[in-house]
Amino acid sequence: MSFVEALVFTMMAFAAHLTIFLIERSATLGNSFLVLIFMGFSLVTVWVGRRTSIDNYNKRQVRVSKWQEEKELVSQLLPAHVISFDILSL
Amino acid sequence: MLLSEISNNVNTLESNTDHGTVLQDMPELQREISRESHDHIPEEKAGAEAEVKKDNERFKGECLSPNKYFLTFKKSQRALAQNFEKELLEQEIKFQTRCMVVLLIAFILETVLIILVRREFSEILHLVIISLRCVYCLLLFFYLLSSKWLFDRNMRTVATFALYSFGILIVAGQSLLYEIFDTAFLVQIQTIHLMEFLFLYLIAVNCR
Repeated sequence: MSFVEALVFTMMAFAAHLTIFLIERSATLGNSFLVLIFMGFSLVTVWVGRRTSIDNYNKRQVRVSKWQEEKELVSQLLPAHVISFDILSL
Repeated sequence: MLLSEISNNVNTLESNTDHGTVLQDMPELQREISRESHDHIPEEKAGAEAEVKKDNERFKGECLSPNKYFLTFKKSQRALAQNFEKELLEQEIKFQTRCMVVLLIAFILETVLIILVRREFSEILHLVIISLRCVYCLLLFFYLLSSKWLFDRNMRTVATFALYSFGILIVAGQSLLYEIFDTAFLVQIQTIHLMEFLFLYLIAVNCR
């Protein structure tokens, strides 16, 4: 889930929690604090996980691009048997 | 290169002095070697970091640059972002399936627990709650079965949102009907509702 989606879902869930537990008459300060802390930690986890995934993706993209570039450079080189033939002819 | 210089120095020392003098110089040489090698580590690290920075600059067009706080992508990077999301889904599909299985098992267990602590089975409200929970379990089961075909990201997002909203509605519904439960177990039931709510939230946000 993207961070924005998680944020929207968290707001919805917190609103639902307040509604439910106020009607159920079980909404205490302790409960609400627990829910808030839990949601805060979850959001932080989502943010860190997402950031790490993006960083890893970028690193892999750079590696793949470098590898492709090197492959193109290598493909421009003369084949080994041609080089050995030239050396022998000299 | 440094080692070769040091070995040259040792050779010259050996040629100029007798063997005992060289042996006396050995600890100093060793210290010099170790100091020089330690001095080289930060330089190498800095060199590698500089190279990484240079590569990042060179291939900037092929990397994602998200918003600093919300981690959203620009419109110009839409294709790249879609590719990234697709790969992320491919990587996490097994983990998500396991999470859904755990959620299904937890929901079934909680349903059994709620059936055990009900006051009477004949009341319509009980049947509503239990049937809603059973419908939810069935939906979760079908979602698990069809997750391979719901590979499109938007479809998955919509399905997940609908499923978890329905789950929260069920939890909310049964919370509103707290009179039907035995008052002796009311506190425990409320704790179960809270745990169920948080568990649903956790799976929805972290394990989609």
